[in-house]
Amino acid sequence: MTWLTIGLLAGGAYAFKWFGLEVLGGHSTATPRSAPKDSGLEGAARLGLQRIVDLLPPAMFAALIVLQTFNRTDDIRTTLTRLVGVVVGALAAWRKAPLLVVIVLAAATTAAARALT
Amino acid sequence: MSDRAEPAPRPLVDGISVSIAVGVVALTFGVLARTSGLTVGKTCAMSLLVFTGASQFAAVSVAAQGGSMAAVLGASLLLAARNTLYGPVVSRWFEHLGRPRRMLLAQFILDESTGVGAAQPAADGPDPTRHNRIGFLAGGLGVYVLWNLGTLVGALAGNVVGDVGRWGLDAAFPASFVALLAPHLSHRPCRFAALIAAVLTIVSVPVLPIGVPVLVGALAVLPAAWFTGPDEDEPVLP
Repeated sequence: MTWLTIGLLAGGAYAFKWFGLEVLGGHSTATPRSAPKDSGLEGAARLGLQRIVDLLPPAMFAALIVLQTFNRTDDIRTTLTRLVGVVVGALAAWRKAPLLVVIVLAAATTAAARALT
Repeated sequence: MSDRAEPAPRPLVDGISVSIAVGVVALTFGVLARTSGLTVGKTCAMSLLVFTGASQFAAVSVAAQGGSMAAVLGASLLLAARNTLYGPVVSRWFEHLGRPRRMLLAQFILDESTGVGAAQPAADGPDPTRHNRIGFLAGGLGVYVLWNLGTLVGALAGNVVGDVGRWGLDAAFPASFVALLAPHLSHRPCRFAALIAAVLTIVSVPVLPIGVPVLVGALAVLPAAWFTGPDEDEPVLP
């Protein structure tokens, strides 16, 4: 990987973050326009956007869990042992264990499963 | 699980916990980047400047397979695109900040910082987003420090660690997202969104290029928002 690639990655990654915060976050564009308060339709549109934004983190986290658990380039043993660890971590999370406990349990379970198989 | 009981706010504990976990993952990144041919300097520069975990892993893995610059950028930036979607969530916690500080703030928008912030309940009194804000900052700054520290140590350790799979570190990433997802699941529309997103991702992983399935999964918010209706109950996030 060249320095140019790293520079473009850094610039691109930052641009996405900035765009979401300033433009989609509505600080720079929405303020002057929404001056007349909540005409019914506009209020409804904002409420809809709000709902979508609220639902984004759980949707993204679920997608990432799937993506990182099932990697199509891994063999079946790697995937299954990883899955066992993730399931144990999920049980711990369901029992409201702290994040670090969840992660350590997941990694330890996967490591143990690999050592035994 | 008690039905609608608000969890207690623990923004600092959550932020620090996630940072330590990310530090462990960063070790993995450092080792992987070195074994795929990057120098220590480039490995550390990626964590300092790109600072988006999943994108960095994607870039390194595509590069390791001999992917072109376009392939590296494509896979990595598609994964980075989701940080755009966190902007509106984070924006509501920092409305009082001026533009220069918000420009700095943007760099710390990540899965982890947004997740820790969003997992906090609303605070009583005139500043209801206080816990969200502290959680975001604790997660964002803590992750920045430990992600870079972990990367450096991992890069220097290089092949000493050997096979990261043997330590089960590849299970750490998805498990951390399971823990971040868990608080959302007490809310029915969120459960619905998570379920659809998981299904969409499973279906698209075998057929779409690396990086795209996550974005397809994000489309789950549309049916979830549509079918659960606006009058269901109050949003989980303040």
